[in-house]
Amino acid sequence: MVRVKYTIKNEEGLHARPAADFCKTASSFKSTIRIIKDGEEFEAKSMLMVLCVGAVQGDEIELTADGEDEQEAIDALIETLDMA
Amino acid sequence: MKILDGIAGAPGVVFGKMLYFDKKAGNSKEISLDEAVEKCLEKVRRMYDKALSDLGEDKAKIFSAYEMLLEDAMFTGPIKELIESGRAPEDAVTEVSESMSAILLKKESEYLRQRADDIMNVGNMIKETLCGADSDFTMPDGNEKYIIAARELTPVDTMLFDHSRLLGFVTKEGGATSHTVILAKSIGIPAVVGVSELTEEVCCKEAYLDGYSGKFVVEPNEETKKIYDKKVSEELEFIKSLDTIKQNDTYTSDGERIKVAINIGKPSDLKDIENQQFDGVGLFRSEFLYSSSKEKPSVNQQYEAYKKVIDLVYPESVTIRTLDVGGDKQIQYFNTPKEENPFLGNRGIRLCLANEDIFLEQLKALLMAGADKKLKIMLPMVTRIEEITRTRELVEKAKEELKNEGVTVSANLELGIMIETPASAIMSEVFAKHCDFFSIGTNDLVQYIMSADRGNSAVEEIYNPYNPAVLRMINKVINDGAKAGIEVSVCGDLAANTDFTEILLGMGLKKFSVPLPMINRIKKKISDINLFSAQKLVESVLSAEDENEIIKIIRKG
Repeated sequence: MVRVKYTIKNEEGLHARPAADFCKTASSFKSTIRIIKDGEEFEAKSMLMVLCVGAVQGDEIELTADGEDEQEAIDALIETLDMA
Repeated sequence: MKILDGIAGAPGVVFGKMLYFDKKAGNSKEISLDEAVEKCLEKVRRMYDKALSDLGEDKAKIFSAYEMLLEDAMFTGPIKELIESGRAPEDAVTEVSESMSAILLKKESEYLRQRADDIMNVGNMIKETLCGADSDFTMPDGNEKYIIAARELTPVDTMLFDHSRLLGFVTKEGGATSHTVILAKSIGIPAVVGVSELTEEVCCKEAYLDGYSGKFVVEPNEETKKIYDKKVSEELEFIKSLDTIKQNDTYTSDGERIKVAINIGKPSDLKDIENQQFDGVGLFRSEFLYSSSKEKPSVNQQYEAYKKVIDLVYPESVTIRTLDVGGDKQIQYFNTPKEENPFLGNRGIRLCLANEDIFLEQLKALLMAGADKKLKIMLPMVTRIEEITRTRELVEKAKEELKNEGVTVSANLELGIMIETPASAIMSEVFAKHCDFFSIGTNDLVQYIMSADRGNSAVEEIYNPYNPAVLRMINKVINDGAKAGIEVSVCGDLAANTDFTEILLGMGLKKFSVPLPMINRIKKKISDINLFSAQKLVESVLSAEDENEIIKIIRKG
């Protein structure tokens, strides 16, 4: 399992287009991917759950991926977040 | 005649026949959840394509969000589980969409709270499809245009109409940020929402819809018709001249150049400014930096936000207002004790000067952001000269510290104040010597002069900008500013209210600052005004004894 910390940088936080992009990227991998914020876990392949994280600019979140393509998944997700 | 009140959603005034959009339960047989979801998916994909070609990608996005929700196993999964456990399908949808949207409604972000609407909309769409409801609404044959009334319009519903035959939307439910409003704005038609007394009975009657005031007049009488016909023709004329107005500088009809700037609350408010002429940003509220995060923003975060706006607007100037919290707007890390009377308490510049370390950081960020361009800093809630002089000392201190760190700072700095307290308005002649510009914040000024809380409906009548006490005060400030040779602008609601445009011009105002959606309306109004007659109007307004007399003078002129 891969686990990384990430601080949300973009102004609008993890919603709107960023959430949709994030969710799409997550869905393209086989691994089980989760977002953890303030101890709560959210399914990263669900747009609804990504929205429910409610991460805003400056929030720290953790990403975990578990499966055969876990490292690729995390790398791609970080890239998606950086581009948002 | 019946006048119904709602929330002004999208601007415009129209007259026309009403159609009531009703989603009646159909007679077709009930279908399974999977079938219903599949049907809904087909529908939103069609909507997406239609929106994409009619309205552009930005507006189509909502439908792709719906699509993702419908495809989301975290949404449909729990519904299926409930149905399997014996719940009626419709109840299962209601239960899941309500509990999901409840989670989002608890979030701080306005955006996320609105997504709760999306979930409810998708839930409703599934429910309607489940019971075979027929929402394939078609408009009557012909070319006639209609005002559409409905309990509520979802983005899916609004896509069922032929846009070229729509005059406006009026709904019983919904708020100023609902999708009906967003779509109305993108189509360019007025919308009034939240009209609680709206019923099916309006159908087929003639009505006026005023998206500026949020009024909806059904079966108007002759007298009302006269008033509204004038508004409608003004509106038509406005639309005709919109392109010219939008792209050009603003002059009064007798050729005086008047500046019209915009008010913004965050850098992204500047995204719809293509082909829009405007004279810089007259008010950039800095609160978003402080309220959108639990910790105070770093100097760098602030610098980046200010710089973004300054660069975008250059060579026009940006007036940035320093942190204006306290009163009804609280921020966690300031640790302000609960006050008995927050509007008369530690707010605006008072709170900043009581927390000099935080204030100093903001001043540093501002000085850095304005390094190579013109910078205007504006202080809120000023009541005493000391507050200006102490801020100047802090600006010097910030400059000194930055210089020692080897950072370039703004050499071209102007320091001005909001005139929003009676003390500053009364003393404007003296204050003008101590600052570089005034901007009149009419919302608070009215509240403090009239001693009436603008949020309290019991004193709504007293909180009245038409009151001569308010207008005399504004006149004094504009004149004192002119005498001292400093710039005076108005950035509160009054600047964006066309009832006051002529009066403000007549008083000698040379700069308005308004929200972006109102700018062309105000520019048009200014271009229709002759300064000489505006001055005459001011004479009679200033000699009026009460607000009723003033309203009469304004409406007649």
